[in-house]
Amino acid sequence: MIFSSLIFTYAFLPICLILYMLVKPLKGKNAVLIILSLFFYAWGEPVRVGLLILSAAVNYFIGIWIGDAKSEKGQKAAISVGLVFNIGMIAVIKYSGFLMTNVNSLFHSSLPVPDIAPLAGISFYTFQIISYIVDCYWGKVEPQRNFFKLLLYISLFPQLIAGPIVRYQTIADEIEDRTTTLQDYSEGFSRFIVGLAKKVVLADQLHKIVDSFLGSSGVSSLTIAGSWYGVIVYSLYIYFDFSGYSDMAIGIGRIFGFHFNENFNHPYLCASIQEFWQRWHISLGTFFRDYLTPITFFGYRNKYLSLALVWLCTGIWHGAAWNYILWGVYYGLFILFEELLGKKRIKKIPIVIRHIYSKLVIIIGFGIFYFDDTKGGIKNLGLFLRNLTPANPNGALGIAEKISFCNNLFLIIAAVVCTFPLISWFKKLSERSLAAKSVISVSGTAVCAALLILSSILMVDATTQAFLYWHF
Amino acid sequence: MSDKKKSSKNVEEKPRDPKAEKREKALRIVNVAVLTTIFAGIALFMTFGKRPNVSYTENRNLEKPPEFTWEGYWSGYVTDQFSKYYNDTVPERAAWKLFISNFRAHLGVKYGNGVTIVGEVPVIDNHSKPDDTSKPANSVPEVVIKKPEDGGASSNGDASSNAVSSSSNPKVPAVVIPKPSGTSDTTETTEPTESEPAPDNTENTNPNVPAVVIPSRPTV
Repeated sequence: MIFSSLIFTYAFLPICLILYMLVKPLKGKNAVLIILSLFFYAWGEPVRVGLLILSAAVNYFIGIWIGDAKSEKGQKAAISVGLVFNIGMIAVIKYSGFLMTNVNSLFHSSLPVPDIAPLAGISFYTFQIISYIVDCYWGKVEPQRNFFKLLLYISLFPQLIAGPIVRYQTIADEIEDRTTTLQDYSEGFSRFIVGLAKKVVLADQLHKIVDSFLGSSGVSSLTIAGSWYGVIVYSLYIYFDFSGYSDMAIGIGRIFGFHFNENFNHPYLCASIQEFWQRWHISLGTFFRDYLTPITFFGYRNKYLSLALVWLCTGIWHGAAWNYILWGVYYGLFILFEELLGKKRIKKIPIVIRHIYSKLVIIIGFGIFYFDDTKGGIKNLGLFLRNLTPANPNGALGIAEKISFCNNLFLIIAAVVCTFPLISWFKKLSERSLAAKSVISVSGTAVCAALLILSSILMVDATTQAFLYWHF
Repeated sequence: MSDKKKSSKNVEEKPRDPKAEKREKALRIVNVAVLTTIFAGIALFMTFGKRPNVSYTENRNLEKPPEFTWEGYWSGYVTDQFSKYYNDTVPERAAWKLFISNFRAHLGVKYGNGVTIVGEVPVIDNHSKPDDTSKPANSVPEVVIKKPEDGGASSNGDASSNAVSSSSNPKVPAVVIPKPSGTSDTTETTEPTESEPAPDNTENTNPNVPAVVIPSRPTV
């Protein structure tokens, strides 16, 4: 069940809200959320719920083992078992097929390749669990002694499938005690609608353009302008798709009284690649920063080895395909370049040049990201990268991109405008006077109402796309 | 969570005078009331509205609700089929589909003067015999005439998608059949429908003569 579907928005969500409001004690509210979260996760593939509960149970005992261990040795044993279990689980389910395929092609062997269906959200909830047990080990949080509360943290449906990767310490207190205020409900609902509109009104329409340029088998015959046009639109699409989901998750969480951390902060406003990653998929970036960089190599820390590890893992986390690994390494190299250059020197470069540089790197990066194995893999990626350059044999400009650009002009302008922090600007503007606040607030309500109606109608179209990050 | 932390999350702004707070509360109530009313209205419409079981514009039976079996549930069939049924049988779906088609037709401006000639235009010699073999018999027709003003979907959001999908070479679309307005992308078909038989003018029996595509008439 995807968030941007009618069945979720107008059947599942209203039932959740009604049941949640009817039940008064917090224990009951938590029980409602657990049952509905498991029901949500079981939709379309009930078997996967078993794995989620198994994972929660194992990590519940590991948390208690860490908490009750009297010596550091015991704690180390517990955290080791926990990490092996969690990383092993994700490695087997997500990467074993990829690994065996590459082993077979490298050594010309014919070892059996496991055919395990991908599990939606496994990368997200496994990382949440890892953050929980590591925080228990580091003493940042107390191990949860109530299994159902831990299960609620892991299975909470707004962030279960595509994040943000919520740390246990972020919502630990809210699992124990929370209330939904009028402000929570108002802002949560508005946030949900904004996210829905980002996905249905912008991302899904942009996806049709991406599909017609990069998605067909005609990558080899794209012109230079067509290649750039396709990948720029893809960069817009992926932002609205993923940030739309995060907005919806944060909004629904807020309605139920949970305050998740932000996952995006207008990433295309960045002037460097380091800044981009401080604004894009923040929960993943901070996860790697907090849990991978402390790892020591042969007894001491090495900045550059940590950097290599973080970016290799970032690539691998996104999927079991070479293009994702290449994507991670690609960003790692640019981060390294900026590290070596130093912040002072970077700041001396004119801001326009910095913006052009960062956008170029990001857009080409998303080109690498796009061509996974289902879209022709490395072969099509090579053709695509060639077509971005004057080496393209198909010419500079074709009729297809001219028509597409004109026919989608308003959509593209709207998408570009929406990458700016419009809501923050209006909020600042509303601080000037009481009258301004009233006008902007009422206008905001009217816009949200219009977006809700428009998104609801557009969801009738069966071609609504699933969220891209569900595959991860 | 400590009260201090909790309050810092709930109240993001500094406390102001009571009048401003009262106004803010009133604005929030308006926001919640308006959005909840619309949300509840649509949810009720979806739940109690009459669901169609046939689409006349698409000439097909719509999805049916699944019969519940435990076997079907565990395989995922029941929930998948219910999702399809719920989405496919939205009350007043034809009207919404028409709206979507019109919405997509207004995502940009029409390219050029309304007629687009794609690819190289072959010179047709009026004096040549019909069995002229100067051009290979299996050559792809290279002329496409598009009239975006005909039908909503022909001037739809992405004209190029039609072009690209109909040929392996996106620069040379072989045949473009504009969709009648009121149908979505998924319903695009060259098969005749009950309400609107497909025009038979796309057939090109002579491979030497480029196919001239006459747009289908828009649905009324």
